[in-house]
Amino acid sequence: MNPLVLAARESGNLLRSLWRNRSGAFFTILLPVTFLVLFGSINRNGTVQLVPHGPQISYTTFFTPGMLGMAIMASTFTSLVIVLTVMRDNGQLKRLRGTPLPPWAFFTGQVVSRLVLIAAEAVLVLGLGRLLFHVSLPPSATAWATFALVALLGAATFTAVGVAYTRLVANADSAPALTQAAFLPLLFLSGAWFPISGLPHWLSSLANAFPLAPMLDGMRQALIFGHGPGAIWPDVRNLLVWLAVGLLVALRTFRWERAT
Amino acid sequence: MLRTEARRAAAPSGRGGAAIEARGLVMRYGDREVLHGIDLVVPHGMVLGFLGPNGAGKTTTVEILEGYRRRSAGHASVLGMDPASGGRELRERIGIVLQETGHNPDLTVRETLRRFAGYYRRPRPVDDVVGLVGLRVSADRRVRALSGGQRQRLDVGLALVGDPELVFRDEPTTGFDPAARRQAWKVIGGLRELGKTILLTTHYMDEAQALADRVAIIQAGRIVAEGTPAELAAAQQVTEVRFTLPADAVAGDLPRVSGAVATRGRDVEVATKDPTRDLLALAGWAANRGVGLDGLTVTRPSLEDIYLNLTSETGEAA
Repeated sequence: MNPLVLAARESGNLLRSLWRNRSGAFFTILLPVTFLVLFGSINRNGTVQLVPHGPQISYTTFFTPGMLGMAIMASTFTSLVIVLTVMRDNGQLKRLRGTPLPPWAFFTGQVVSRLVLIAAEAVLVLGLGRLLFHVSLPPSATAWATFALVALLGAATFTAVGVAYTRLVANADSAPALTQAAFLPLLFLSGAWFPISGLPHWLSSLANAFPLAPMLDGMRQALIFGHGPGAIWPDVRNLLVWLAVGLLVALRTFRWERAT
Repeated sequence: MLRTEARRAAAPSGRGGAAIEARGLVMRYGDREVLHGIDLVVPHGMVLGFLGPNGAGKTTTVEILEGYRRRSAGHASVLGMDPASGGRELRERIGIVLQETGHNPDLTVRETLRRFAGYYRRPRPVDDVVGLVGLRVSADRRVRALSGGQRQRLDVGLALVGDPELVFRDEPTTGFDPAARRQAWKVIGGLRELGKTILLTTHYMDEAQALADRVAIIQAGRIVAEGTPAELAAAQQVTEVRFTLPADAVAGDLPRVSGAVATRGRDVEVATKDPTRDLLALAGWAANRGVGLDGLTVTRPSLEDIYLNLTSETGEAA
């Protein structure tokens, strides 16, 4: 069996089961959309500055990519850690390891099915933002491509980091708490909701050390200012480093069986 | 026995060596050695019952053979491959049924089987597998809605969908009610008929007796007994002949027998390795006196007794 076909079938099966158990997708799909509508409406005419003394931009244009970033991290990092630890605890991973399915085909299936979700989410979030709040969209093909590249790279990075993170999660029961403990503070610290230009230097440095703030910044630079990939190199570099470290740790420490 | 012989003759031949061959398997975790040199040979087409109490090294041995664990020392060959490096090629040809394994609850039985069938080069048709494990009526139900017993059968189905030559079956009936147990035995009986080689791990001697051609017993990291159930019984134990002394006789009147005679009041117990000859002597003696042997019983200890005996003795020694 062609491994690429295998990976494609895996993601098809995962999407099918996801669709049948839609309530489970609430966090990843509906929560960011709900927040977008809610906070966008509250702060409809507000403006913010991305950097101190920078140009004023509408809050909704700032906030829309923030919610897409939230969805990306929720559907890669958070949901993946929970799914993998559940599968590790109940023996599904061990069973898969006993079949000829190559590990990378399994992970590709997980990633591709999530990318499909993220793509749907992006259409939903950007479409609603445009429709309700006249949010600006990337002004050129290059800007669109840059936007997509950053989103894709961010998804890949949070996937790798998520797989690596499973090693810190002792069992599936503690997975929701341990992922939220990383997810929620990072969400606020990284400027998904409010600009972090006002943060003290040490705190903004901390924020920029993690991958979420660079991903959000890269998406915003492309979306709002139409920047190409060259202009956001520091963001891309941060994501690449996290991706490499995440992959390395994941490859070295991932466990297919629950600890005994 | 006859059935076994016929089946073994029908099993695929022309492949050199046994399905499983382990010599001197040693497993160490740090300083702790848990397997002290396991030898295990399972010819093609055989059902081997692998018994032992918890912590004896049963799971470790099996997981080395399945490729989940790397042995510290010794030789292992599974279908002619080293399980530590057999990888995908080996997994194409084996089926593993683990205990209590989860499923994606939102796929149907058929979808789940089809998904796993896609992992193999030459899968068995999904409808075939559905029938084999008795899930025809539930084939289009979601796994979420299955009973515990049906999920266990799906577990077996997933191990069979690749049409493996060798099946590892871990504790097929632990925690089952008697009806579910019979059903699980039936499924394994079906596998035998297909000529599969099966390594069956179990806690229960009666299960091994009902399903296995040969039995190996592991205790404290060593194989302490190996053979057909009948051989184990013969090698390990004596037959007990019991009766009540006739009213007009005393213990000194009894004929000479090969076994050890013990009396308690008027109850006589002869523990013998040659029950036929001793029974003949005793019955002839009684017939000559014109009396019967009241309450005569001839019992062989059950394999369960033998198993408990073996595992408790060595358990104390360890």
